[in-house]
Amino acid sequence: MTGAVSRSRLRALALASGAVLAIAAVHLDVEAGVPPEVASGLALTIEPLGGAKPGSLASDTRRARLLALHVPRREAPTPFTRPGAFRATWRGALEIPARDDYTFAFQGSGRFRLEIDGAVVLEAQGRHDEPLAGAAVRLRKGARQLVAVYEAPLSGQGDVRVLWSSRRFGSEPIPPTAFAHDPADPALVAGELRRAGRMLFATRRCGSCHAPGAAAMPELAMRGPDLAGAGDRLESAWLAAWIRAPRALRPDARMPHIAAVDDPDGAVRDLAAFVAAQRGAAAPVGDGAEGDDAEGDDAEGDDAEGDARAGARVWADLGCFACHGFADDGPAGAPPTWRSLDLAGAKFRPGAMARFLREPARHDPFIRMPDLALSDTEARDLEAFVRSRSAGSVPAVAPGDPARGAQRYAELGCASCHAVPAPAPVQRDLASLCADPGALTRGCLAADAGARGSAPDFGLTDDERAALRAFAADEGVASLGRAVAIEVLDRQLDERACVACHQVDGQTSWWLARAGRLESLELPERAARADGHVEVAQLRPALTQIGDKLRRDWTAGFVAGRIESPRPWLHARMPRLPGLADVIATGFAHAHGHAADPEPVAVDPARAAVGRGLIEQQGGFGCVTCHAVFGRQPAALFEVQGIDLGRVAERLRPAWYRRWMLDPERIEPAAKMPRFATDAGRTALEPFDGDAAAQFDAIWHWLHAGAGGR
Amino acid sequence: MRRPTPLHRSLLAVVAAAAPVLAQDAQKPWDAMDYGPCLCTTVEGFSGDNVALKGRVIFLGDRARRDSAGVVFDSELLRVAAAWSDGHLELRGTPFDGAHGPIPRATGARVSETRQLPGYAFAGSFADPRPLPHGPLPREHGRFLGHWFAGDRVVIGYEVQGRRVLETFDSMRGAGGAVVGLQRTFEVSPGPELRTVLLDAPGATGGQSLAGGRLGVIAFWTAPGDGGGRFVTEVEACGADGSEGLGVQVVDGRVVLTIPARESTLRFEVGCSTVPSGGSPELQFDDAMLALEPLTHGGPRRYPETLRTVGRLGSGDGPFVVDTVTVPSDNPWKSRLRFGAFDFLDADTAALSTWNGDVWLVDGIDADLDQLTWTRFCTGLHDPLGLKVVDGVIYTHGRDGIHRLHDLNGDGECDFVEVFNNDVLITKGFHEFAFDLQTDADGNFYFSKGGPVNPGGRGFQKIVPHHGTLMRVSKDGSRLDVVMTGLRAPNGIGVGPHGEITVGDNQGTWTPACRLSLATNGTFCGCVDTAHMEAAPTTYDQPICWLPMSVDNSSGGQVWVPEQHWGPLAGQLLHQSYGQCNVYLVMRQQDWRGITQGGVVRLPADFASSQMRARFGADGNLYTVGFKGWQTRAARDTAFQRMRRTERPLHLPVGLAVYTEGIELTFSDVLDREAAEDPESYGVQVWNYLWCEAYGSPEYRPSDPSIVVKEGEPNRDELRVTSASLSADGRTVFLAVDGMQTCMQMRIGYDVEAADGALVQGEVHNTIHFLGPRRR
Repeated sequence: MTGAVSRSRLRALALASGAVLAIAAVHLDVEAGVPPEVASGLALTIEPLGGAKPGSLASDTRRARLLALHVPRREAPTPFTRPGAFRATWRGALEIPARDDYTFAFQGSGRFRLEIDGAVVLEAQGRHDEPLAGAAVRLRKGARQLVAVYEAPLSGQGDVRVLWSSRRFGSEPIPPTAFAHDPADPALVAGELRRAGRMLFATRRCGSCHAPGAAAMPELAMRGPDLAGAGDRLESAWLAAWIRAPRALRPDARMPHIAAVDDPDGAVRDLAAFVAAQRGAAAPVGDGAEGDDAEGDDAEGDDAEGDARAGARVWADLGCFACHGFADDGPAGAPPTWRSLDLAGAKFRPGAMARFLREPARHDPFIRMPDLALSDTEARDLEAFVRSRSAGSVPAVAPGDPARGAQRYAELGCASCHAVPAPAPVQRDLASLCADPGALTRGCLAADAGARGSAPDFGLTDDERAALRAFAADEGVASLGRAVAIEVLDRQLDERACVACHQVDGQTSWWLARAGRLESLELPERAARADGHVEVAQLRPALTQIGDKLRRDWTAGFVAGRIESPRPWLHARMPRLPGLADVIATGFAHAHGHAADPEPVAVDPARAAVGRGLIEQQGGFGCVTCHAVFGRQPAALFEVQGIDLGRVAERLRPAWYRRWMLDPERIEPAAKMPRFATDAGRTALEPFDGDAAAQFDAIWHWLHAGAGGR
Repeated sequence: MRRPTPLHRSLLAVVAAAAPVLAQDAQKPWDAMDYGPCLCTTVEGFSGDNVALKGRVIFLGDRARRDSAGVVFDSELLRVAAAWSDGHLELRGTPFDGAHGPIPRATGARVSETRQLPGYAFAGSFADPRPLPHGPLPREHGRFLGHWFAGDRVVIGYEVQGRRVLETFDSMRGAGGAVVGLQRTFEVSPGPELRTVLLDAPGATGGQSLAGGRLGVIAFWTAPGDGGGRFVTEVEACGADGSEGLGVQVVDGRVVLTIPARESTLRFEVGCSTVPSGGSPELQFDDAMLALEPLTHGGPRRYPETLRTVGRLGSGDGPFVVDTVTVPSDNPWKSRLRFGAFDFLDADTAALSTWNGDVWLVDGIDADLDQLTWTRFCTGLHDPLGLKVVDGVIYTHGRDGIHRLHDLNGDGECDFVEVFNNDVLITKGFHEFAFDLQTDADGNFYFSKGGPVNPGGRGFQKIVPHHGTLMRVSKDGSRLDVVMTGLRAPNGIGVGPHGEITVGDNQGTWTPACRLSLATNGTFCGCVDTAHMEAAPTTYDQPICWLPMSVDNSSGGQVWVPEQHWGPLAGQLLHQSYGQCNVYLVMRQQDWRGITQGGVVRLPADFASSQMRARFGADGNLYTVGFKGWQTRAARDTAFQRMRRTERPLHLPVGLAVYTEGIELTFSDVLDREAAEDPESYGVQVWNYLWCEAYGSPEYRPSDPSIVVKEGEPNRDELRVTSASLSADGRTVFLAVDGMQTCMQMRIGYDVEAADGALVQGEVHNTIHFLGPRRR
């Protein structure tokens, strides 16, 4: 790999967007199994038409999961370029699964050209709301070189989606797993490097001291935890150990080691004493201030002891093991967000862990730990379980002086990140730093303690310093004023560890990969079995096609926690992410080339009436056997439950619904839903002369008639 | 809201009275159906622990509505399990309302009920002599013979300790005309004294004779405070020897009737009623006592209507077309025609059984199918999903065993449902379906039985020794043996021309995927719960092949192509998929030890309903039936169809052999050499399943079994086809494949062209147990 960024860093970046894979085999053992030569997705280069201008690069390259894009009018196609007309070029390989006749189609507006192995297979111009197909081409099995060039209209609003079909399968967006690219492509390395630097700027809270001016990038709002009441939550000895060297407790800690000071031991003691003296803000679990306990299981009172055995069940059911473990199941092969909980017992004061679990973001809105809406009892049980396994300890510490600690706190600028009283002192603003190349080798970015002086020690690697410099050099300041939903989503998939529970682009979730870790819990059946056997019904939906499958408004509501899960049988719980829900939903939609949600369906009552009959057992497909319908329970549930059909209209995009109905297994090989349509698109039912698409459309109409159509 | 005026109320009443009937017919077809005068089913009495496993429910009131009055005779324990008035049989369960778990039950006012113990005493005791509380009584104790239809009257017959007992049942009305009791009319052949329990009278203290009965009325009171019920039993007898010796006593909370020893036939009537304390039953016997033997020679037709349908000939340009023998779904009895088995009575007449107990005859199965006539031959059988014609007699296999259907008077309708063998042990489990019925060359019968899966699909309810087995009944019906065990839901079997017994099964607990198996005595198919072994087995007998969900998620039956038909398919095995509604050719390969492995390829034919049973007709075409009763992609509730070979080429693989070096596929027709010898024309994948108690199995790649599941994509290993060579005759391709290995599942995709330019595309799914060098 060329460039200054280490392989492991880029690997982490690639994993962040669910990416690195060998086309033939993905292995979950991150250290052992990642082949560095080929990466999934394509290299996407964006060039503003008209060349470089202030605040905009002339060309910016990133990895793209899909051959699709939506750029809203007046928004930038990448954070590093300005809004307006642009050219997008996707390069990489298309893995042809078998020798066959393939047809490619364009949907969107603008000019588009697709070349496979140097031959043009599709050209389009203008606006095409319905896919415009090229001629069928015979392609041989294997990786074929792909170049796709798209020019957005002058308005700058870009819309492009590319679909393919063959004799073996119907029209569908080309799946991300069919794409591969060379991760060593210099333009791509440069693009990823400046992005890595940009994300470091946000996650290390650089903006706390170096004000960036315009700040549209959502991660710039990240701050350190609110220390109010920290003394009620955290043990003093742990606080001292953490303040002394965060990276000794957690190698990838984002908090800096404190700068060189006189009497560092004393400073640590005093700071710990100061933080421990922050008291009185915490509310006990179950005090009513944190919402009613839905399960009403708080009869035992605030001081009730948790049940470690029950906590183990919660641990298994909610997939805590995907990101956490203890010394005895070690970090070997663990995912990037893996955190040992060996010190959790030493960290939290009694009961505080349960309070934290109930509301992880209470003192840290950007914490990665998800809010799983635990009940008081679950939280207490989980605390009991974690304490029963958490064997680590920190050295005792002599008492410090809180008053001196307060002084140190102010001197060191801790308040820049931690919202305890003092206002953040602004150091040098970002724009002037970037304009001064010498500044980028001093202070926080210095390679050694001598050059660092009194600046905080973030433990940055050479690669990370290089990334930050690349970011600073490549219109970094301007980029912070732009938020591109697709890229926010890519970052947040990693930051929020979505892939811990969900599969993306063929990468197995960490939950599944680590299910074997549950053996030591000796749990019966649920969640995962001792033999590693997986309950298919408990799989969380893959995110690979989610932007093409779900309506944007539904995704936003669901991620925000405003909408109930359509899969009530899952033990897993979707965390609530109200602050990010909108941009995540938008990112999914834009990545799949969808601008807005489909218009409401104008229900044709005659069609809907036919659709009503088609879901029944008698004379229909028998959907009601496995699916609930507007709350009416399934007629004869067997092993796998389907989603309440009453939830279909609110969730699904029509094209995806049609593809699913015509061939569920094409979308999900393990689907239990039978395929009713033949390859020729027929069913044996009479309506519409056996035309499967028309029959499914009738059901679609009925589903949109709502509960009133029952 | 305004309160309804009296006029409004009466109008509302009219509307309300009319609407539910229509709604019920449309939405509850199981309630709308006329099941005939007797329904064989598993029935719950008034108390949940009283279950008649092989019950005969005889409707005594309006039979179409199954209401007003009825009686359940337990054909295993030879007892009246329960009788009711002013109620109905509530039809619950898989074949009726589709519910998983509940079974039909009696509702209304309890006329009588007995405990789940023998109805006749043996050696002075009513104790259950059976080792398990399942199955018929020992033969020396008693045995059920069957039931006769005499118009709407049903006569049951059984033997007890050498005496043949015929019985019929009637409602008894009280003075006010309402049904208050059950009248049993007996006709008992000569023999020793018998004692039979008439009804349970818990807490009964004794009784007294009342005036009025021809023999005498004896009333019994329960203990004070015990619900206040009064049990009344009235016995009337007549006959050559009069009534001497008939008597009623209370023994251990039962009302017991003594039938005296006789040297000639004894006829008598017994009336039973349960009335509230203080009430008087005033039971009224019919004036004349029926002679029952004359009612066992055939009665008038109950279903004289003949229904005509016109079949539909299929079309298409493939090697097969599918014709439809149109079924009379709209029939006067609202019979739900879900055909689960069939056989031919002659070249153009078939007998078909429905899940809800009918047997129908259809005549006119000729080339045109334009004059099909349907008649309803029999009703009320116990979920018969097996049917076989032997020497012109229809045998059905239902949950209660094998029965022979006799048309005693030649009027085209069944008059006698004769027990052929009812030794099978059953429970009330909703999932222990009775599947298929076939015979071998020696005349032995074969069938299979599901395991009693829990509602929801996982694990099992109470297991008895015949659950999840394939069984054989001797030609004379006297003996039942278990042939193979470890099955879960074996919906369909096959018997080959050389006595090969095959069976399918579908994935679930201890069954990782659908499997097609060859049976020999003692074969264990893998489901540990139904292994019926002393120690839990740690391995299982291998199938011919496993089948992934996309190929078969729920198996049907098997059939062998006759030697003289279908060209290259002659003599080959076919397998049906109930769930995927397909028929597959099974290509087999045997090694020197006799182990068989193989794979399937789909025959190109689209069917309207599931594929459960298949037989070749005299015309050399394949006939199939199936219905929609559990998960399937079937579109129609049922279909009887004919798969007819056209003149057009098959363009299919017809032979499969695997070797250490690769795969040999033999096609039905000559291939284009260029496409056939391009390795890219083929794709080979392998994967395994995990045999464990979970429901089915994900796929595991052999190269790394630690990868548990690949969400969104198959978890398989791709094997590289390094070269492909076509034989001189242009029909056999040899694929050199890297990494050939034994595996539970292999998929061989092919995409070649025939010499005539036709596209030849498809996939073979097979299993590899053995690999040897290819000898050329």
